[in-house]
Amino acid sequence: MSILSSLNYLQDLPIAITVIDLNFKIKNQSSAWLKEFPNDFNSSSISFLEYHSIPQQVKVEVLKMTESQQITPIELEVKNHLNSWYRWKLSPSFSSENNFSGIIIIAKNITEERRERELLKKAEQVAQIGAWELDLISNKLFWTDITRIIHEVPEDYTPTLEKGINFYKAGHHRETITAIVSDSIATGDTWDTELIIITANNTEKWVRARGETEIIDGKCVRVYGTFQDIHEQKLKDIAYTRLAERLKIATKTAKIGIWEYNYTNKNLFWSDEMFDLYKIQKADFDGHKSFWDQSLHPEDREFCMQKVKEAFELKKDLEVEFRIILPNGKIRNIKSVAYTEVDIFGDAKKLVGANWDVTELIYTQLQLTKSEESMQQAFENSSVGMALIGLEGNWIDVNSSLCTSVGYSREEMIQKKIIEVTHPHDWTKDSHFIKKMHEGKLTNYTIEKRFFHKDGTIVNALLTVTTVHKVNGKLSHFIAQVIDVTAMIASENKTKSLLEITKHQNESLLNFAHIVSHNLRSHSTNLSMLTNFLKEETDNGEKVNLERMLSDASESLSETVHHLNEVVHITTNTQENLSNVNLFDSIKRVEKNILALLKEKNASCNILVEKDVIIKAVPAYLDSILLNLFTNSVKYSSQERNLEIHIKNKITNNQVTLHFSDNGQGIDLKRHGEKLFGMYKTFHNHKDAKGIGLFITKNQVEAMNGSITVHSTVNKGTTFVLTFEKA
Amino acid sequence: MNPFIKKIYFVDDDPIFVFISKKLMKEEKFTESIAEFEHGKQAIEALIECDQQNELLPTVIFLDLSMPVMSGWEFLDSFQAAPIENKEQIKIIVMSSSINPLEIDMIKNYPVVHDYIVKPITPADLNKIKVCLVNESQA
Repeated sequence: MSILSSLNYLQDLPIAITVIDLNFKIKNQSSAWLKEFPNDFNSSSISFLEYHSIPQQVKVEVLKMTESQQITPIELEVKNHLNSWYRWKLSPSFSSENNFSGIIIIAKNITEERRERELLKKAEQVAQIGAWELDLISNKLFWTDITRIIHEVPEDYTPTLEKGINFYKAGHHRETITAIVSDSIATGDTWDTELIIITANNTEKWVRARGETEIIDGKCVRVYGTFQDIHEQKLKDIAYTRLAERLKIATKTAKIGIWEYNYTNKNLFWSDEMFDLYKIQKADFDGHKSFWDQSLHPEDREFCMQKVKEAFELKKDLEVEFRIILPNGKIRNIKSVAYTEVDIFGDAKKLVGANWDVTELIYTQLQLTKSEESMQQAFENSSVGMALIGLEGNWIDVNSSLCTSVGYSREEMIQKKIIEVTHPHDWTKDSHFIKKMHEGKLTNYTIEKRFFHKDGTIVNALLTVTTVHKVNGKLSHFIAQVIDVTAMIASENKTKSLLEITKHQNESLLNFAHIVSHNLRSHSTNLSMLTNFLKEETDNGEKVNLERMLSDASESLSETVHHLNEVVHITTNTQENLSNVNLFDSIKRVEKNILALLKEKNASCNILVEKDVIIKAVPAYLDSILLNLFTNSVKYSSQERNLEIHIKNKITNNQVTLHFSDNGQGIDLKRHGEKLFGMYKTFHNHKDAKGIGLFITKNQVEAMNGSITVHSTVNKGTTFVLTFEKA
Repeated sequence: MNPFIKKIYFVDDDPIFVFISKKLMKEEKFTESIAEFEHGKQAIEALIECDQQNELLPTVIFLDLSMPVMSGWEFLDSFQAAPIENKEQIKIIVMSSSINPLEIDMIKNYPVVHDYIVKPITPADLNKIKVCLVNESQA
């Protein structure tokens, strides 16, 4: 009865339920069951086992249960062939006699539920978000797979509350989580924190742990939450924070103000440093662009507005320098650099930029420009030749002083290589030092060096070269200073030649003094001795002898004095008596005067002198010189051959050279060369030799700015070479 | 008393000076005989001749410096080179009117030169030479 009624009742139940007997025949079923598992057999008596839509696993459980007459219900979740999930519940049914009479089967379609769970699991995996649950009644901790993966523990790991806490890094992190969990258990508060755990593999990891509590009757019974690996993200965050911190310090130290300007709403953001720069109280700042406008120097305002406008319209970066007036009235120069932020539609929305004070920089730049200008002025106006020389040996710049020295214009100079204007003999010295400078072994040098003037003449200079280095220490270029000493050297040479003349004159003066002392002394000695003898001599014959000697001695003295006088006259009075004399005519005249003498010796004269040669001479001296040369040739002619005299001339520059040769006895120049032109030197044992002729001749020639030298071979002949000034 | 010195050479081209010097030596009884030469060449030739003939060499040679043909300097060079026996015993006295210090320095380069006399010769000069010779002979 009860069963029947119950059976009828079964049909109306809103769940899929069926009852089968021990032969698996469907005894009863709900309409929901029929809906889930439609009966397609058209028979009232069908076997449960014949249903295709019921999974095999369920059928097996039913068989097992029937066979063993098991009385504990079974629950299982199985997917059928249509991919639908059902939760099956198998419970024994009993007859009125309380015998095992069949099985009550309930199937609940859990496909939707199941899908949600699957999706959740997937989501958990994808997001790497794990979950956990702590049952405070059983004190059991449950971790999802992802939570295990985050902790790097095996799948079958069973966590406990204590183990879980101990994964947190000792110290701050573990203390924090302990405090949070116990606190929330007590108060029921939720939490969300980021801490470090040390995984089973001993790896440090940043995690985000969130927790919620379940309170029943004012008592926390369950704590659960999520667990997320945020290590990479956290590291990035930390790095970013550090960077931002650093930037903040940098901008603060460098006094760089950061600003942001929103073009749409004219809102202005200023960093603290901006207020320092503008010397404005942060409290006075109203966050509007006009605030900035007010600080601007009136003269720069319009120009700045224009620049900002351009930046927005052209979406380009802003770079501008302007002046601001501080509240104390002082003017500062500010440099502003900003970039334009463009939104996804390509419209310029705001400017983000930096401001810094460039007043000192501008001042320094001004100073630098000034000093560069003065350097340039000094370079250009220096009386010393200056040049900048490139490492390749090219002129980078030359000043006008150097141009003047070498005769080129600046443009011509810069076209030239240094080697082109350098005397070839001086190039090696220069290049030697330049090489050392390139090697860094030398920073400057000074040499005497010759340049070529544009007109081909030589410019003597004192060259000083100094290296200039770049900021990085590498060689940049050279600075050359060229002191033109051509005039100095010319005057030095003039002084030298003057000195030479003076020295020469001094020597001849000394020589003359010795001659005077020597000759006068010997005479005076003789005279005084003879006089003494004469005073004491008693023998008359001897007295006469002494008197004769005294007379000879005084005559010699007067002759010597006469000669010396002549020399003095020659050396002092010549210059003003120089006149133009025809050399050929003079030679011919002298030859004519001694024609008798020449004839007596049977001499022949071969005069090959150009007829129009005019020299500067004192006519009387020239005659005397020529006469002396002729008579010398006659006097010292060889007795073995007839005398031949050859006279010829050469003209070079301002000089006329006269060669006067004979074939006479010749002079042993090795023995007498030095003394040939001395006073009272004779070299031949000849009665006519007085040793005065050549001395006078030499003095006369030199007095007329000429010279006389001699070449001779004993027994071959003698050649006198005389030079005269050309008229 | 016979002169201590037997023979001297007198080389000078100035006849007046030769005359004066000879007269002085005669009065001072300086030497027994004087050989005169006008220049160095004559003197060196006479010396070589003397040596070859084994005649008595002069004890003293008075030598002028500036002479024609062969000067005093050249004579000194020739003398140093000449192969004359016992020539180191000959005393050479250089005579000059010159007070040129260069000349005096140059003379010091000739070790054969015993002394240098600035003309004229005085009795004191002669006496000094005599004393020197006597001392040497006694030593």
